[in-house]
Parts: sequence; C-alpha cells; structure tokens
Amino acid sequence: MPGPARQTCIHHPQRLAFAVCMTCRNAVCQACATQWDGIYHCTTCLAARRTASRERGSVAGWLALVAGVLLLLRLTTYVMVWAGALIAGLF
Amino acid sequence: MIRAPLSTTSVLDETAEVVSRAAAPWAAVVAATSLPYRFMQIIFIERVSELGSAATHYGRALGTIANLTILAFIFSRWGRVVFARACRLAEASDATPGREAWGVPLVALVSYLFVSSIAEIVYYASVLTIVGPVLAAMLAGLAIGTAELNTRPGIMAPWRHIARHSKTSKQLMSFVFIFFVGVIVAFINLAATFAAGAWLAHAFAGVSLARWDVLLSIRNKHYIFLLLAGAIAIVEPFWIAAHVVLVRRAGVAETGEDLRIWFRELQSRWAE
Repeated sequence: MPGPARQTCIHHPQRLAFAVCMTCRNAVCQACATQWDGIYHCTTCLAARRTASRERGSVAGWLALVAGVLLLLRLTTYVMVWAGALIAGLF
Repeated sequence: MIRAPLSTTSVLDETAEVVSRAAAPWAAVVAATSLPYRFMQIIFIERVSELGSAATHYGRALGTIANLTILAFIFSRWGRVVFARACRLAEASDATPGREAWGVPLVALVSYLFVSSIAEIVYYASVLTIVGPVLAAMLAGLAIGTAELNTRPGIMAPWRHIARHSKTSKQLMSFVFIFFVGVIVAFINLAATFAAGAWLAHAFAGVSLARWDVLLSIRNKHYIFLLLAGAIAIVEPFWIAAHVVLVRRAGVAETGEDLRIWFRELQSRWAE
C-alpha cells in the first residue's frame, strides 16, 4: 500500500508544502507562507486581507478627515469673530 | 558660488525659475481664487473697526461675514493647491505645466484644507502676539509644501509629513521674514504705481485729481486694505513655490540624491 502522497505548494508545484493557509486551506511552500498572529496565510489571502483592511482604513480616514475639516472650519469662524471683537474692543 | 542644496538662497533661486515657468497661467488661478478671500477679510476688518467696542454685541452679523469669509477661504485653498501642483510639475519637467495641473487629488486638497484651517485658527487666536502669526505662517507654508504628499486620507497623515519636514524650520523662519519684507515692498510699489498713474492722468489727460487724491490717500482705510490685498496677491505665488521647492529638496536630501546632485555640480564647475 503506497504511503500518502507528499503535498506540494499550490503556487509552486515543484516545491514541498511547508504550511496550510488557514483561510483557503491550500498547502503552500515556505516562500508563500506568512505567519501572522501565529497563523499561516498564503500570499493571495494575505493580499486580500490587506486590501480589505486598507479599504476600511480609507473609509474611516475619509470620515475622520472630512469631519475634522468641517469642525475646524466652524471653529475658524468663531475664532475669527472672537479675535475681531477682542481687537475692536482694545483699539 | 556653490551653495548647500537646502540653503534659503538656493531654494529662492530655484523658486524664481519655477514661478517663471508656472506663472502663466497658473499664478492667475491663485490671484483669482485668493482675491475673494482677501476682500471678505477686508470687509470683516472694516465692519469690526466700524463697530469698535460695540462689536461684542454684533456677534451674529460678524458671524455671517465670517461664514462667507470661510467659504472664500475654501475656494482660495483650492487655488493654492492647484498652483502648488503646477509648480511641482514645472520643477519636474522644466516646462510650463498643462492641464494636468488641474488634477489635484481630492485627498491632497482635503488634507491641505485640514492643516491650513488649523494654521488659520492659530493665526486668528494669536494675532496680537508676534510668535503666533510667525508659527501660523510656518505651518501654512509646510502645509502647502506637503499637500501633494498626502495620498491616504486621515487626520494624522498630514502631520507625519509636516513633522518629517519640520527640520527645515530655519529655512521656514527665513521665508516668513523674506516674504513679509516682500509684501511691504510690493505694497510700496503698488502705492507708487497708483500715485504715478494718477499723476500721469492729470499731466497728460487733464483729469482732475481732487477726488482721486482723497481716494488714493494713505488716510483712506479702504485704499490701504486693498493695497495690502494686492501686495499679498503678488507675493503669494512666490511663497507657495518656495515651500514646494523646499519640501522637494528636503525629500531629496533624505535619500542622499542632494549629495549626488551637488557632487555633479562641483564636478561640472571643476571641469570648466
């Protein structure tokens, strides 16, 4: 009875498998495996995660930036009036 | 004379070249977008000076003018970013930038608006001090210089670029002084031009100067404010270009490219 076939990397069939990606469950070689938070991921799944994370960061960044600009512009009008009234009172 | 790449004089030399390439038509964009803001500021100052000590009772009326001023402020910042992009393109290609100068990335514009709003608040809050407006001018300069480096939205990203380039504070301080003197010189030249124009109109066209003498008098507050707005509009393109050049050179210095350029410059001079 033949033993179990030795697994190879899904991206590099000539290389032996080193780990299994915990997202897509494919076997990958040492070059394709990246350990993140103690779990192995293949480059494709890691890139997908990175893109998703960037998109979330981008939306949050836009929201923070636009809210910050609106708040600061409102604050600028108040400071402008306050400074104007202060200077007018002094001179 | 060979100067260090980050010296104030070498940055100003390159600024003059960049402005000469980008000025037509892009300096007109800065002037057209910043003049409404300057006029609104003048109206605001005039109303405040008219109201005097009673200004505190007219907060709502002043607030309305301040709101319109801030709308004009947003428009003027857009013009500045367009010109900054035109300067960067002119610097990169040694030619007058074309339509691509309009294509300012939204993230660069909003990030610049964010930082320049803070600079504006610092300026208004500390207008009666000397240090406050200088710091505000330095921050505003770094903000326009680093505007196009912002490629990702966020409220911290612009500060990272500003912090990275804040080591050029000596040059930034020099720019504040130089451009302040520049505004005074432009102001005097504008006043002299108007006075000469009035005199020529009287001498050659027989125009009565009785009315013009009153309008173009230094006792006329409106005239002084308009001259000041005009002087700032003349100096503003140079101020923007100087900061764009400074930030680009500071970035180059980080990579060591400045030393390679300097070495090539030295080699070419030795060869002469």
